[in-house]
Amino acid sequence: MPYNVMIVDDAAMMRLYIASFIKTLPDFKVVAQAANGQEALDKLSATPNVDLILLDIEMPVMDGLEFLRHAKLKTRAKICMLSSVAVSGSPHAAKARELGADGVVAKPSGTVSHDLEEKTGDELARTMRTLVAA
Amino acid sequence: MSDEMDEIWALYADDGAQALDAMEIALDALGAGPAAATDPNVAAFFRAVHTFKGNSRVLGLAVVESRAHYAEDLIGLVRDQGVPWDAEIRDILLMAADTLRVMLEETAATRADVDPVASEPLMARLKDKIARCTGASGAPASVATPEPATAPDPTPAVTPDPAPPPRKAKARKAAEVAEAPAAAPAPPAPPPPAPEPVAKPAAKKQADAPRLADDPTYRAIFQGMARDCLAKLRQATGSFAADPDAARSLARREADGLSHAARQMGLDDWDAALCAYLADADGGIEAIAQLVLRLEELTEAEAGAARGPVAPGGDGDVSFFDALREPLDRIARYGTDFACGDTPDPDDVAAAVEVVKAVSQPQGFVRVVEAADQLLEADSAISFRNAELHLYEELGAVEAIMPDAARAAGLSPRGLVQVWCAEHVFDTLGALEHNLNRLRDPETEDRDEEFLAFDRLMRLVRHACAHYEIETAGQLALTLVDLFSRTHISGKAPDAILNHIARGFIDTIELVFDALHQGETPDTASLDKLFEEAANVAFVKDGLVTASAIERRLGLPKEFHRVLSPESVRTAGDALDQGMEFYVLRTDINTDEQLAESFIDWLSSGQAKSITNVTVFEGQKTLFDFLIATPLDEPSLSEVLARLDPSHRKLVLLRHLKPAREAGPMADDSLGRDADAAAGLPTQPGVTAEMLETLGEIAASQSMVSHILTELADADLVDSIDSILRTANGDMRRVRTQVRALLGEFTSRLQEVSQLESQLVGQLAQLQEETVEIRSRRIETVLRPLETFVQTYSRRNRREARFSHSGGEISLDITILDNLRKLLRSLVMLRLEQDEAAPSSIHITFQRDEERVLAVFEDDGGALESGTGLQDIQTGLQKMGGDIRRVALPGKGMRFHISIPLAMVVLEGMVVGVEGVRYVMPVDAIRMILQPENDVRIRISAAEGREMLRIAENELVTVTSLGGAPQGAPRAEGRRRGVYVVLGTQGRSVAVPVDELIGQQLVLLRPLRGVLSRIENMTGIALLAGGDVGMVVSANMLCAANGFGAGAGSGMPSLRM
Repeated sequence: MPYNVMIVDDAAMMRLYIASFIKTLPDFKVVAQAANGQEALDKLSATPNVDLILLDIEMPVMDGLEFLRHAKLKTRAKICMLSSVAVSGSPHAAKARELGADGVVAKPSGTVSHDLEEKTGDELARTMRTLVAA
Repeated sequence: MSDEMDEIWALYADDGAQALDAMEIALDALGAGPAAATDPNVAAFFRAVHTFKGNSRVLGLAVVESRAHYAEDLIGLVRDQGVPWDAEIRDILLMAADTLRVMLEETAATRADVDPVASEPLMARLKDKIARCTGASGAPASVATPEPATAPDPTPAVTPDPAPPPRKAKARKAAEVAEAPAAAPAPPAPPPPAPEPVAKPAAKKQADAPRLADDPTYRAIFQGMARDCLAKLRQATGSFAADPDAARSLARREADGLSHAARQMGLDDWDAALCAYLADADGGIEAIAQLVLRLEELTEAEAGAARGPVAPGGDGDVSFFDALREPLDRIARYGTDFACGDTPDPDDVAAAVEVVKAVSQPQGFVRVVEAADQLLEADSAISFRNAELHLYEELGAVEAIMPDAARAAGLSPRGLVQVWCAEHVFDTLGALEHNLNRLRDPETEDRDEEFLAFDRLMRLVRHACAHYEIETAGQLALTLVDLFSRTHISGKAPDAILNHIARGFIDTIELVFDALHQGETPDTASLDKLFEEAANVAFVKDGLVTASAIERRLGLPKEFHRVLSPESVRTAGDALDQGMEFYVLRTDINTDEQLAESFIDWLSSGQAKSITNVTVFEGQKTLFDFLIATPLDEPSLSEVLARLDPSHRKLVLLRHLKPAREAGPMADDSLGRDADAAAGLPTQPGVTAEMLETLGEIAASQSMVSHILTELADADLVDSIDSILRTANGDMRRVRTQVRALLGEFTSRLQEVSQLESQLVGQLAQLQEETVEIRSRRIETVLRPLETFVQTYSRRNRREARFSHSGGEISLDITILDNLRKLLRSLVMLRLEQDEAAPSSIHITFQRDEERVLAVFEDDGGALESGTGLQDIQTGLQKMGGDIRRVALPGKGMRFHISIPLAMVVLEGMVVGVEGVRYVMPVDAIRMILQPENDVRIRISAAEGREMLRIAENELVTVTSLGGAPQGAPRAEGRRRGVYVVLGTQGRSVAVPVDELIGQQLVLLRPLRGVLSRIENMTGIALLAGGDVGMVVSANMLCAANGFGAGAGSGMPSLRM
């Protein structure tokens, strides 16, 4: 049974890239997508069997950190920040850790990273697998 | 310090005795009953026992505290729950008072907690009576306990077993000093659940001195006292007419008592009002009435402040936190029971957990429910405390989204966690140190577990930092959580630098907490430096050192600051090297899939490079600003954008960035390429982003080494040992332990330096390889333009000439290539200018050995006599140490043999050690490496007694030493030369015995110059990783001089005089 993944990112292209990447991982399946934190919260209550959430930080309506604050209370799903501002040791990465992000991966070339699979695919897949196995 | 402690313990003994006196007076006054709940003696007993409990807690006397706690519960039932006062309660409380007095004397004398066994009978009676009064089987479920939800835990740690010993008694005592004065004079009254006061930062104290009034518990206590006082004052006004003196006396007594409490609380306005009355010599009815009015005003204001600013229509549900108060009280008490060795009844725990779950489940707080369930699995004091702490952390997350509701309910789980973590921070730091050692230890089996423990412990430290409001440290703790977590997922162990940062953090933060607990203002400069170092580590790891250089050089707008990933840095660096133009494009493509695809396709097509992009919110729109690099100039780019977006609105050229030339490595010559560069000819290489990263890492490592060495140099071991001896009073066992610990710490730091040094060696090797690589180019990079040159030049001379070559794949240093390019051009020109004798075909073949590059230039042109042109070429070559030899071919054609010495050659070498000297042997010349049995070494008398090595059934090779001992001479005692490197070239071989094989390495060979050029058998020298210099062995010379059939002798370097 593949693990169910929700993608939360305001960039439509980025959602496509991430979904396309996840299709290459047989042990994961995208079951929901959302364009901001609020939409993700709504979808989360309708999709309770999500195992992993890939979450952007900078989004309109409700950003990723605020979503994290709420979602950590109400879901057992693992949450991995996937954001261009979450580079190793950055304040955003630290804040995400404080709020309970289970994993943090930086997008390789900005908020819309068409080279996600090529440049960060291995790291992202490893992080996803580590989180769901924990 | 000891004076202060003496004072604290004296205060404890004095206050405790007074409280016990008050208890006994109240019990005497109450008699065997009956007594009303509102009887002042009931309240008096409650206040006294509460004070006693608080003082015991402050000093960490868990057993004493627990006994007082239950006594307080029992009197609380009478006061608040309508339980009738009776003789049994009086007897039990008398027993409690007696027991507490004995405990007070013992603890004041020993300054340690008492054995719980002696007071078990009292505990049994208290629990039994409470249970009967409340109808519960064990614990007083319905008791409105005055106990704050988190009593301090006497267990030393919440860390994985085994808990480490307390790390710093000195620091803990300092904490006591800071805490005790605040708690000791606690006014007696029932407190609501809230955190006990813990020392706040000294800096904060100075600016805004913390008062007991800031603590909700003591505020509530004071409110009770004020209510009592007001009631008495009103009574005094009522009875004034009948007995003015008695009324005055009553009013003064009450005002005096409340004034004292107000001063302790730091409530200046209360104190002022009360003092004004006390200063009134008459103190008559009007003064009393005025005081009543003033105190009523203050009471009202106080009540308002306690309620707090609850936002209308706030985001939280007050009832959620209200409903948690009672079960959390019980859970806290079970934790205290556990800590005192009294395992709580599982049914009672389950009942409390059920309430928490019942409150949390409807809200969907699944993690709170899970945390509550963990309490049921706890089977020890430590596991119970861990589960309790976890529950509070989860509730703290709820509080974060419903802060108003939590405040209105007077409950702050987050605050409680922070208080707990602050109280236990030294234990946590001790556990962290153990954890780091285990992470570093290669023998550690379950590293995953250690990484998780690190995460947990560092978060506890973070809570403690939050309590003291030291944000820099809190931020650094989380940064370390992030860095270690990423390292964990990468499957690696933390490297030396990360370990150093973490250790430095622990050491520094311990000093900070120590200072805070002593009421001092800590020196946060070290923390700031550490934070900077940690940030640099993170940035170096991810290339962000170069990111800042790129930001500066491109003059990036601030939205692009600190968002460049390592990939982005590399892309930008490459684009700078290639002299591309940089632009910022604003794109509105999020809702236009077709345009988005076209744009991304264009970016991926190679016409442009997307370096990074950031989100820009414009009203409801989500836009993206792309930083791109492209060879296109501005008009061409605008054309492309217009083609992609005919509307001209969704792809907008926002800025054209002009890269600045900077001093330093980033300002390489990439912008100043000449025509040859455009033609693909080699140019001086720039410093790459990778090299800068390596340089940054080396600088960071070096700074760490320097930092630790300075620390070690500053540490006066003699003085430390002397101090240990002085304070040990002849206790040699203690001396041994302390000296061992001191030396252990010292050794550990030395090991750290050693580890860092190894890391530096690796980084230097990497840098050298990168340097070598960047200077190396294939010969064909010269030949391609030469081919064009041949064709162009021959056409200019009305000829057609073909050009071919072989060996173009050989790599040479760019300096040689440059010389070669000039030389070959001159020769081509010389040949093509020969009119009728000019060749129609030119072929060049290249070969390289370890000392020179050989080019054979062959054409079908006429004979070339020695002349000016050729002479110039020869002169140029001779200046370089090279040569040219011409041969007229039979029939037609010329052949030129050109030899150019390798001024600087990239060499794949095997580094070996012989008698402490490093040698580099060309890998290409190594035939084999052997560790033969002794009997394969034989001495051949026909070969002048030389020692030979049998390397195959029919093959013997000469054994040739590199070291100082001549071949065949007796070897130094103990030397073993079991390993031989067999070098072979030009059909000859020699076996060279070596002491050690250090490893293969790409090195930059520098030829020997001047007098050194006469050293035999050596080609040059090479700088090796780690800073050593290695002699580069010439396999050609060695084989020629010592190969089978050649003259005998040592191969050791000797001067040709």
